Amino acid sequence: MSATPVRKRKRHKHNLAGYGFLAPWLVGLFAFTLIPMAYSLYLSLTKFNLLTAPQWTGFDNYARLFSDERYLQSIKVTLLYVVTSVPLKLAAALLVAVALNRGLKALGFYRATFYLPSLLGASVAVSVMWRQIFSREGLVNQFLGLFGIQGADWIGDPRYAMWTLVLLSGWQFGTPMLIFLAGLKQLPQDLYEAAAIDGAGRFTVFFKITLPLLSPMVFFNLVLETINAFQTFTPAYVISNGLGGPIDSTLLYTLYLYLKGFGSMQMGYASAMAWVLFAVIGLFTAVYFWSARRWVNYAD
Amino acid sequence: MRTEKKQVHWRAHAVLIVVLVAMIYPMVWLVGASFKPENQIFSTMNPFPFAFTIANYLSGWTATGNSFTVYLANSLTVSLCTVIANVASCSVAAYAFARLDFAFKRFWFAVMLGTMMLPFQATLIPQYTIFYQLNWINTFLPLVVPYLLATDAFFIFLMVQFIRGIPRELDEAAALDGAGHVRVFFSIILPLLRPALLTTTILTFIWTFNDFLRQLVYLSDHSRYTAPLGLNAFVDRASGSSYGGMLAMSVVTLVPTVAVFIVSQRRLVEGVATTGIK
Amino acid sequence: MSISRRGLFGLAGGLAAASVAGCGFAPAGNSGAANNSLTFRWWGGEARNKAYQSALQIFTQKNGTKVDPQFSGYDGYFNKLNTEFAGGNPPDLFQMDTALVSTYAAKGVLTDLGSFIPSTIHLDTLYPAVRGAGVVDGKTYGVPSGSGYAPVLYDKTVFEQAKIPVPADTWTWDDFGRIAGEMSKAMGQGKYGALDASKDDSGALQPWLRQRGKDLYTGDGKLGFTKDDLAEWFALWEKLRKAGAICPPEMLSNTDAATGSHPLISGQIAMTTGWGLAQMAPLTQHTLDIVVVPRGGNGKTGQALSGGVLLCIPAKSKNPEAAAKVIDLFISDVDAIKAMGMSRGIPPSGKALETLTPTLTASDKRDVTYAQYVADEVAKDGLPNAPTAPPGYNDAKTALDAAAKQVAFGKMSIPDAVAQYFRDAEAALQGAK
Repeated sequence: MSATPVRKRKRHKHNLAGYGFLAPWLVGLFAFTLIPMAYSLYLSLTKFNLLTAPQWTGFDNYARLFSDERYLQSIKVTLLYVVTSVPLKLAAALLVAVALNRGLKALGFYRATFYLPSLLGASVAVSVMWRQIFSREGLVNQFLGLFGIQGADWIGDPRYAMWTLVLLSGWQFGTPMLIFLAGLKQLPQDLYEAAAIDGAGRFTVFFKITLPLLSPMVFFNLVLETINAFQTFTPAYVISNGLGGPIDSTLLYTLYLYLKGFGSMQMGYASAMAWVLFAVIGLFTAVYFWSARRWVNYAD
Repeated sequence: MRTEKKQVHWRAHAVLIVVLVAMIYPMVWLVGASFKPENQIFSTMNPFPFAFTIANYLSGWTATGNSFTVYLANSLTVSLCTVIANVASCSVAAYAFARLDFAFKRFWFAVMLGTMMLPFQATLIPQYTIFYQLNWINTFLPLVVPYLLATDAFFIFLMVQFIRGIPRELDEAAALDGAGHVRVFFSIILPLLRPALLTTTILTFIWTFNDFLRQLVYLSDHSRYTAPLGLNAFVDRASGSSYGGMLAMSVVTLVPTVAVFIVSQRRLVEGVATTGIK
Repeated sequence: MSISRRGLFGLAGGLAAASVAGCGFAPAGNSGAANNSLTFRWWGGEARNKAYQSALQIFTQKNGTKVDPQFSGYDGYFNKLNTEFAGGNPPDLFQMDTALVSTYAAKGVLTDLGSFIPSTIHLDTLYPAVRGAGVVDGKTYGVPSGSGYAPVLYDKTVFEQAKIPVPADTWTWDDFGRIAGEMSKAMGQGKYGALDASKDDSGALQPWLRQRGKDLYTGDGKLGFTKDDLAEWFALWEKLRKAGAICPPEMLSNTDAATGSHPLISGQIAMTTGWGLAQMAPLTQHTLDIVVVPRGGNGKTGQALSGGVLLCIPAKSKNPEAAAKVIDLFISDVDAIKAMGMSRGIPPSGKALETLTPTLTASDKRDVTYAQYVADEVAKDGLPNAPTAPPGYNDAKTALDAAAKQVAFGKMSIPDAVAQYFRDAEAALQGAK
């Protein structure tokens, strides 16, 4: 009986302290996330160029999106980019992590060196480097020349430009690699010993033991890297000189959004684009989470 | 059995070295090319400059009308302010989530996790509009202030995981001594949070240093350009004529982040790896 | 002793040191007006960059105001301006394309220079014919800096090496195709006779249309040609492309600035449109020369006098007085006129011509005699004057670029590309009304 008043007072104290510590984040949440999102939703239903007040247009922007050829092109390019670069990145990360997990002495060195590209990858400088490497007289063609292969102008040819972006993304497999490595370290050794006794080959071990045990990490990386891939901007901008070319073959969604919103000042239209993207990412994430039940095994 | 293991090691090493070289070679080439005279940059794959010259650095430094000193100073200012702001705001939020009990905590935690998956495009334009109304466009404020309010939930999450690993007995001991939450936070949690704070510092620094789109959108005055914007202006104007200067300045803009990485890499790598562990 | 506390102090110290750049937190523009400096932006190439920078130094010497130069290629130039108009911090002075001035005047982002004329900007120094290049709806928004007739530039040295006669001023489009083909064969693998000019509206399409009695746009803001015209235009270039006479589209990305990587300068093509002798000649050891754009079957040149680049001041400018003085520098100051030379076209005034004549190089003189020749031929054409570009034309220009490239890369059939162009261009012109 007498315990109740004490408990009430304690929770009150926690509420004050709790919200006190949480205050900066809460203010930020409302000021920079929730209110802007609501505002963005409103803007997507208007015609807005920042200088004059927004004009209500209803779902006009959304309707226009789907008859906008460049928009459809940007969706095609972005989906292709995400669907190819994410698996590439994760596969590379996994393979290298497995290779590194053999208790090599130089592990620290390898780990750091493989991680460095993913830290720098999103920078303008790396994009500049990448553009020069894949140019007609660049490093890649010089390398191919050693084998007598005449390389194309990878950057200037609309058939290949996007693939240089995919390669750049794959090059940055360091972050998911670290996560896989950490996961591999935690794997119970007794399972491997049992498999060795049974005479299981390396592939069997990998697919039947390692991969299923790593599935939570795979899932985590999958979600994270997919979201990152949809937000890619800098490489597309730098490599195509801000234009998404040649002929819109590198027009990633974010780049087109930027060009529409800040190049042509059609901010209502760009807001509609942002919401469609949000919905698409939500869809991908939902599919991941739903499918997770089937293939992700948590140890507990 | 033992020889088999050794063979496996050898093959793994070989594959790893090939991958390593393939991955790092572009950067080696970049550094080498920046020291080559203009006409030798594309003539050979060999990254070692036969005619070592720093001319590219000298010409590139001021080639865009403002000197790169200005750009680097701006970048450093923005990044340092952001780091301080982020460390401060995320740590207090993390303390609330990890240690305190309050109404609707589960709900706010879920919301925080949710914001981690929010693409920045959803808020870019309205944030821009808000900053425009506040007359903050073309200043560093839009780049720093959001971090003061812990908008990057990734670091809150990182710190929450970390704090969970700190034994509660320490808190309780301090509480018995009469310490309030604020004192517990500053004298117990914060010192023990050091590794996570370090990871946060390093990652925030590197990410904001390289953050291109937001700087592109908010900074138009060339004297306020950050390093990425300065480099991009270089690319724009060069249009293919001065590769040497462009490559040299690329190296220059990479130096701060690479330096930070080299100094802190072991701690950083460990810190990042733990984020994936549920 | 916690590193975090020490670290915090260290960071704070670093911050204090870095606060040299700390004025970056203050609202925009204050620093500019306080230091009395201006930003001036242009597109061009190496020759123009050098010229402008010398001229601006002259301005600073005589006026004390510092001018911060910003320059880039043509691609993306206007996108960047758009962002800055919105952000409230456009450059204090910038170059404007004559074809796009009405678009920007309609957007309300340019200052009406009327109040500075003639007190600060001595517009009446310029030839009457060019004065109106920047006038929209009776108000002067831009000041012309040169004029000229878009030429075809060719590498005389390469022609001589190939022992192929250089184009004559009477040549037609058929001659162009033939010569380009012959040059391609003679120059060898990886080199081509001519630039693919299918996307060049003012330098190639406009003369071609005018030769057949049409034009890019009409006086009342509509497109001045039909789908069949455009289809024929694309087909002309497609034929040349298949014959290997013109360069592949990948090379087009280097043509938006007059620099060493332009295909004419790097030796990959022998003929080009898009830039004048004054900008290109200094970049190469070869001798370059100019010839009129190929004539139509009826012998007409179809050329129209281009107003060249204009100089404009943005609306709500913080220092319009100083910017107007810079504009006037190029008109009135003899040293500046000498510094600029011919990098923006034929001198637009008697004064400029007088000042420059003693300093003209051989290729500059060619530019001048070329302009005189074309002026005479245009008079013989007897065609009506070209109307001024309507608002919204900037997007129509981009649409031509996109459609032409789709055809060039083989991504779209000509009918589809033409349809796309008309959809986009008509929407652009309609929407800007």
